[in-house]
Amino acid sequence: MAQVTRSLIIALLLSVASAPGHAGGAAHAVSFRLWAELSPQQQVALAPIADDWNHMPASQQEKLLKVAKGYAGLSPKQQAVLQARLVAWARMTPEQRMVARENYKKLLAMPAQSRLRVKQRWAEARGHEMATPNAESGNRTQ
Amino acid sequence: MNDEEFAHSITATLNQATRELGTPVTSRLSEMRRHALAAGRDQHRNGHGVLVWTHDHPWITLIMAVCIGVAGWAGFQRQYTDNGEVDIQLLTDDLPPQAYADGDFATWLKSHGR
Repeated sequence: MAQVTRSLIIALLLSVASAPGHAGGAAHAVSFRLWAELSPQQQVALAPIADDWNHMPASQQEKLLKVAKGYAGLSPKQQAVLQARLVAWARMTPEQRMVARENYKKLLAMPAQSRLRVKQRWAEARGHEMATPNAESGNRTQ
Repeated sequence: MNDEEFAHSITATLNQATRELGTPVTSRLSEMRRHALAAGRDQHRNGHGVLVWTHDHPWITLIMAVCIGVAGWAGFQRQYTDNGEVDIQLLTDDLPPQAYADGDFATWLKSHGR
């Protein structure tokens, strides 16, 4: 019994270690993709950053490909807003993007009403212009 | 006869009687003793509910452990893959991403977010 149990545990560990999409540090290999290698759908979604694409690290490409994957599910207005912001987003440093994600997650953790009020006050404080792209399709941030 | 002498007398009588017991009786006594000890061990084991249960049901325990492991792994993967979704929300938010890349936002949120 003990031997069977040990074998099962080893088999489980091996299967987990070899699972696709494994995120365990160095084992999570991301491959660099040339712009020409992207699918037509991916190229449409990421068109504004076509010139930058071949100079991006693979890790950044991978995240942007995830964005491209969700692009089709957005409303036309959201698609337009996303594409208008892509270049600036792609040209931020990795640290800036990480700070933005973390701050945004903090905002998402707040109740929806407080969230909107915070956005308005932050926009006023820093002179950012408020858009309303999320209001059109049920607000993805809910 | 004082108390001590009386006790000694009883002990001697009992020892003498024990030596005179036949083999069938001593065998039965020995068997009863083994039963009593075994029953005591079972009672002791029943005192550690979860451990005894896992010992008695190794396969169910193993399957439960695997399920917990897979669930944990799935949660980890989901957290990892959240980045794509968060990025999309960020890029389509009311505010531009630069607004959230501001290092002062977290501090500002603490003081103005209530």
